Amino acid sequence: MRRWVWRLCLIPGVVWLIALFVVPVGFVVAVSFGTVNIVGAPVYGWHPSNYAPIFQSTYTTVLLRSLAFALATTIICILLGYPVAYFIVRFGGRYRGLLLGLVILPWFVDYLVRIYAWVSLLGDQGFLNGLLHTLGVPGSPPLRLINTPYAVIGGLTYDYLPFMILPLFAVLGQIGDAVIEAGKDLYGTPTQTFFRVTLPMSLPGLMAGCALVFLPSAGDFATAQLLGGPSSYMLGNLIDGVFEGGGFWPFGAALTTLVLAVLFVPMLLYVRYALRGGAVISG
Amino acid sequence: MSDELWTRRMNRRAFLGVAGAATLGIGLAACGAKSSPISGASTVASIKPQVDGDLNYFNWSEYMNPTIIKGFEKEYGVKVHQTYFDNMSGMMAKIRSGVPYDVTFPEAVEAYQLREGGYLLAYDHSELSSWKQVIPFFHNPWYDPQSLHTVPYVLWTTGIAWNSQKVTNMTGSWNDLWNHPEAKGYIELLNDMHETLGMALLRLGYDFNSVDPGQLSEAVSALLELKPSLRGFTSDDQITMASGQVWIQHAWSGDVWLAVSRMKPSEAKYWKYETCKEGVPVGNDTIVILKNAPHPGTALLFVDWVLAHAAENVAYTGYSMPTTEGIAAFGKVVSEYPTLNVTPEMLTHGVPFKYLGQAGLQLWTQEWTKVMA
Repeated sequence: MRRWVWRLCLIPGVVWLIALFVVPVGFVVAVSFGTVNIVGAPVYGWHPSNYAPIFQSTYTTVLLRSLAFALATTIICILLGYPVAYFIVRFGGRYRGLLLGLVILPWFVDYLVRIYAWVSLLGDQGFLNGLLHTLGVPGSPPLRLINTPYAVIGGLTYDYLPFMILPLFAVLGQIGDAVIEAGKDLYGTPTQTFFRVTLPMSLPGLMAGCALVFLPSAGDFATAQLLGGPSSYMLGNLIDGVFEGGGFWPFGAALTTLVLAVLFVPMLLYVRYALRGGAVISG
Repeated sequence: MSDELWTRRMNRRAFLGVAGAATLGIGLAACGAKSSPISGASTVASIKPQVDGDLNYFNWSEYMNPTIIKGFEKEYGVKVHQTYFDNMSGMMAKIRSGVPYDVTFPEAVEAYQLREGGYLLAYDHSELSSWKQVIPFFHNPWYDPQSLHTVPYVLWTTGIAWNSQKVTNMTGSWNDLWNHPEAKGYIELLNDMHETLGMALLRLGYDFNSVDPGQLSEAVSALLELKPSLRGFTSDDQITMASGQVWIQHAWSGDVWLAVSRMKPSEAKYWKYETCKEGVPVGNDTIVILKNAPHPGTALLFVDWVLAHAAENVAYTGYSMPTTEGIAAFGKVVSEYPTLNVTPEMLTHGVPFKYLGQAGLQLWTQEWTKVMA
């Protein structure tokens, strides 16, 4: 009886997922095989040839670039996010909540506005170049900071860093002091204790953080649009260009399906990891 | 200079992506199966210009002098409910899904598509007291024979703007984008499929609206050859010029004017604009009344009002309007930058943006995506 009640509780979530995820994805896939009418509206049909161009090397390059940017972003987020989460948990004391709040604070501002802020920081006549000029660093024309792949990776890191910090904060907070002390009692050096006790125990949070950073950054487009140059566009930019630029929507839908298919692999790996008990935080 | 970013008025084509993407999602889901009536000759509706309710207005933001709208509200005692779109795709998606707007502002190509699709109200233009002010070119434009469904709104040319302090030897040719190695890394093209692929076609001596696969692939190769010299593709040419990040900009005439009119005079004096001998793209927007407009009478009054106030509009938008008053007023606005003017002769000699057809659009989209990749 009680099992039955709990299963009933699943319904809203399942309905939500079906209505707002499965159905829209179904539309995208259906449109990718269709064509358009005179006013550009998708017309369903069977035109697998829409997929022919996406296997050209041009798109492989963009796909690999998108994945490389996402990977670089994830690695930098680990390197920056782990120490931050660790510090807040171990040394934050009664300021823990406040420090975590500060991590999230920039997210009260709209995503696009935050990227625009980077434009004015990194621009040719932006804050950073102004500062370098004031300090007497020679250079005219000014340093090319914006419209580079580095600016895109920097922007993506800034966009998604909290998604790394928050799950790490959650798991690191679960590790009792006693466990770490036990590690030290067994004559572990701080380094050994970290690698043999803390890190393995925080792995579920780390994996969740990686999934939360990698997947959205691989599909991002606004960051590369504003901070990237002509050779640092991501797949998201191509898709955005087709849909918003008045292009042939079925081709945009085919590119979208490609991204979904590719990102499905790391997502599946994560889900498998989680199902095997990895993501369960054992207290 | 960073202040510029926040205080400037948004360029109408400025990148606002995310919100627009959401709209398109709705369009994607809502419009798929809808088969729209394809009507050849529409019957002319007998609409009288009289108030039949408030007006639902759907336009780019910052694309009409607010004094015109306020004046209309005051004159007729109605309210103008304003909604904005970020791009033509978003506009088309909303119209297709049947949102009951009264007036909207498609570009010529979209006006053609909407008319062919049977979304526009045909009405007797002699009901418009200002119709006689519209220059003859628009009495029978390619996108709307007999001009039964549209009135023209703004005009622009596409050309090249450059900072003459940094770059010299401009020759009035699209080759100027390719032939300035000293500006490497300081050249931007428009992030616009039709403008940029079309420009590359013109430079090669082909038709601006060509759907020949061989010609398009040549155009793509030429653009890819130029790509290492580019700083980027932008839909916000006004701000790239103002930011000093660009020396040579593939640009819309109206945005060049908005950019220079906001620069310090000491900077603005170095900016020049040329149109190119291989072909000058001349674009225009239109004002249309939708077939399902809830208030066609008020809409008719509004269209008339906007045409009558062209002079008031041109300085605000930076874009000319093809009425006798609009053209005269715009000539004065850009008197210091005569190349930014759009004259009736340019309409006759310029190249129009045509609808590419479904197969053409598919081909262009694939080719353009290669340039962007």
